Amino acid sequence: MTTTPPTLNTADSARPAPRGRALIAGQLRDAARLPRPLLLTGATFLLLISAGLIAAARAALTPDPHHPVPLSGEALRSGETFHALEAHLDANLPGRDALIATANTARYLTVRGGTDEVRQGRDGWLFLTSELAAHPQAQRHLTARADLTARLSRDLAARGVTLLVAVSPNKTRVEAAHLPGGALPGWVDARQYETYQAMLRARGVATADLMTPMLRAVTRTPQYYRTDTHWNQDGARTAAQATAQAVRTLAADLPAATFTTTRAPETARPGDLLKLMGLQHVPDALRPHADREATETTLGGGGGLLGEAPQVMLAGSSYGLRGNYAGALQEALGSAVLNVSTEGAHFSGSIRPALQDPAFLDSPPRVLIWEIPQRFLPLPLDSEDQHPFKVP
Amino acid sequence: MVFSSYVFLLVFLPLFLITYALTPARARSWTILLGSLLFYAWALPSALGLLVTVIVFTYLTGGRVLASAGRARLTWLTLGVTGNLALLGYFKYANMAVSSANSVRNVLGFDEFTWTQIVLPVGLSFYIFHAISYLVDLHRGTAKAPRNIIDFAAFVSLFPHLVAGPILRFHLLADQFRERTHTPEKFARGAQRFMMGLSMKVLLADPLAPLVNAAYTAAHPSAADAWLGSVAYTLQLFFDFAGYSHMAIGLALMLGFRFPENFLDPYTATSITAFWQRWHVSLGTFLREYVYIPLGGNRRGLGRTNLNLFLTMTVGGLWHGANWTFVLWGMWNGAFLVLERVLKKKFGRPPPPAWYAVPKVMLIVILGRVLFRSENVAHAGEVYRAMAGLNGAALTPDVAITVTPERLAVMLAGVAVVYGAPLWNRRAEQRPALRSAPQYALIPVFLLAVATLAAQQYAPFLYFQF
Repeated sequence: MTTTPPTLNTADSARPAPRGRALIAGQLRDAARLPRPLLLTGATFLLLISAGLIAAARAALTPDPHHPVPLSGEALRSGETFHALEAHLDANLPGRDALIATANTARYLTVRGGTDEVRQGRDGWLFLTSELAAHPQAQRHLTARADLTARLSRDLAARGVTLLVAVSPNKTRVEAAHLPGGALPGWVDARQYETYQAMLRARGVATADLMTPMLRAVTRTPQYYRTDTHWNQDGARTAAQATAQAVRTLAADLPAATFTTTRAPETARPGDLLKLMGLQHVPDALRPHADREATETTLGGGGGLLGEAPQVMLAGSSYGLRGNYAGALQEALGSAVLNVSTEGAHFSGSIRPALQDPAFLDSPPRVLIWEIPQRFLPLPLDSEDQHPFKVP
Repeated sequence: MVFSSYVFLLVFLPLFLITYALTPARARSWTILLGSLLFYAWALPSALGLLVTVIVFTYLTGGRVLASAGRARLTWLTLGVTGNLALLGYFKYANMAVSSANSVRNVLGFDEFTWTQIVLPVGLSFYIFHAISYLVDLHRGTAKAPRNIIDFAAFVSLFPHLVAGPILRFHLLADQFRERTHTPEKFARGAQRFMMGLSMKVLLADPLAPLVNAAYTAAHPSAADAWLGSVAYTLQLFFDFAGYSHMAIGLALMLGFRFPENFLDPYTATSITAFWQRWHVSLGTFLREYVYIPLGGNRRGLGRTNLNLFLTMTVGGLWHGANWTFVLWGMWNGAFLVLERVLKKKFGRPPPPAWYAVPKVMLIVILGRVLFRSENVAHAGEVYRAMAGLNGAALTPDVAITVTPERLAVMLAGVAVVYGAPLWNRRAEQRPALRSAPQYALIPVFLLAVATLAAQQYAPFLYFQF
């Protein structure tokens, strides 16, 4: 039953308006008489903005060097102060992760929704959307990269180093059966990997074909994590064996070493794609199940000359750091490998600093393995890749 | 600052409401003014000067309008309106004028004018319209003068409608600045409206943006791209703008103001005439009162009425932006308004059934939206070519990649809200128990929308650009 509560005039009124406590008490009485749905929605709103104000105050007082708030006159005039303050608040809002998890869980549970960066496949498999994008200029970019690589290969060869390019295949290609529809979309060039390999070989660059063995192996066991962009330990092992085989053809007499691989107890491993969906802190029942893995670690067990620098160097991307790829490579090779892979290396982010690294300059490796994720190949060149590599 | 941001929802709004509640009744216009200026300055402090200039200039001119009579009164009105329109013209249309002139000079083989692009201050179109309505209402005597410049400044800069409307005529708010009431019921109803608007914006409009952008940036869109993108845009624009209007009306209600409704289920209209009586009602009303009627309205015969209608819609189109696409969009709508009027006059047939009329109106609206959304006339032509099937049928890769089950579900939900809500409301008039369910459902939906803000990229309101 709707009631019409007494009102308060903001302007002068013939009747004196109630003041202070009487006013508040009157308003509370009126509020209590509101229909229940109206009362509940109003109260929810009030509670939210009140709690939000406290949370915002805490966020404002949280020191955050990543979101400094400039306070100069110029910053105030240009609005920079306000924008920075807003960014600071957004980044430091208490419970932000919980809010994100709540929103994304609701999206996932109701409409199987996620972020645009992730495409959901069958049976809880997740893929990077960027691996499914069309690249009309791909051929041009592949050619430019192949030319750049061939030049580097020649420069390195002049210094006694053999470059071996190992392109880590797109998950969408190897695990295509788990994509929605069970296959790559028609607009994706399914033979791009092979095309790039052929381009490199035609320019005299040594390559390791990881795709063929992985496509063979995937019929028996998954080669990639379901919830991560990267290859899993099985995939890494397949890739490592193929890489090792290619290295042996370039340097058959590498110093021998022995390695031991240990396995930790199996644990859940929420992948980077779950993080991209904002579901990394959500129970498995409310999201695509996290992968489980008994993490393997490979350690050198002696052999070879003590203190001898490895004759193989791996300059890779995050793939070089996942699934114990470097460890499996050492085991497959029976020789030590210096791993200088870096996260977020994209195309050349690991090899450029590696070429300037004292470890490289002091004792250049016989074989430099350059691992590149396939998904970066058809993209336009970064500004740094517009210039040739500097080989000391 | 946008309503759908944490800084507004969790900082500005609670602090403003607390300050407002603690301010003595006579000084509340001061609180509104200072709060609104801070709200406006948040986006670009340097634009504040223009807003203050408009306020002072219009208030002083309005004073002269009131103090004079006869021809002098009209002169002051003309000066005030012209001054405001000149500012609007300079900031909004100078770029377009120079660009069009340069196109002509290019064709004639002359050198182009050198020109530095002018940045359009946020909300300029809206507060200029508010200022004009003030002057005209004073001149017509339909509104009393405000008590002081603070009341007037608070009217122009009132943050709920400052940057994206609704466009309010001064006489509707003048009395409310003198006297208005504040009750828990008003506050709760205002909160409900705000919650509804934020949910519409965050949960139904924003998720469609990537699909619309992909369709409207495709170099050679296919038929599927163009149709899907345009339907999605039709939904996005409605939920974005109607959501903003809900929030504005809700915020105003929390402060005791009653704003008129801006959207009255427009997508259920059975004619373009009815559509324009239900879509962006405040703009339609403004144009009718301050453009259509001054042009002569329907007092000078059928031919002149139709011309006035067409011109008014063209002006309305141009108001939306300095681009020939908006002019053509206004003409498109004006032409259908005239056509409907002529056909009604000539044949006087009973209105067609809704199952036929609603899709027909929606088709006209969607085709018109192509002009509204396209970058330029050539781009609109490309989209129309696509719609006609001249660029192939299947989705192109860049668009296909944005068509997710979630997005299709949002579109379906949007259609369900657009057509289901009016039906539900009609039923609820007969069965009051049905009124409670959506109100209860609003609570979790709103909380989800608030949580979604944390997971969302920055998504400004579409109408900010106008």
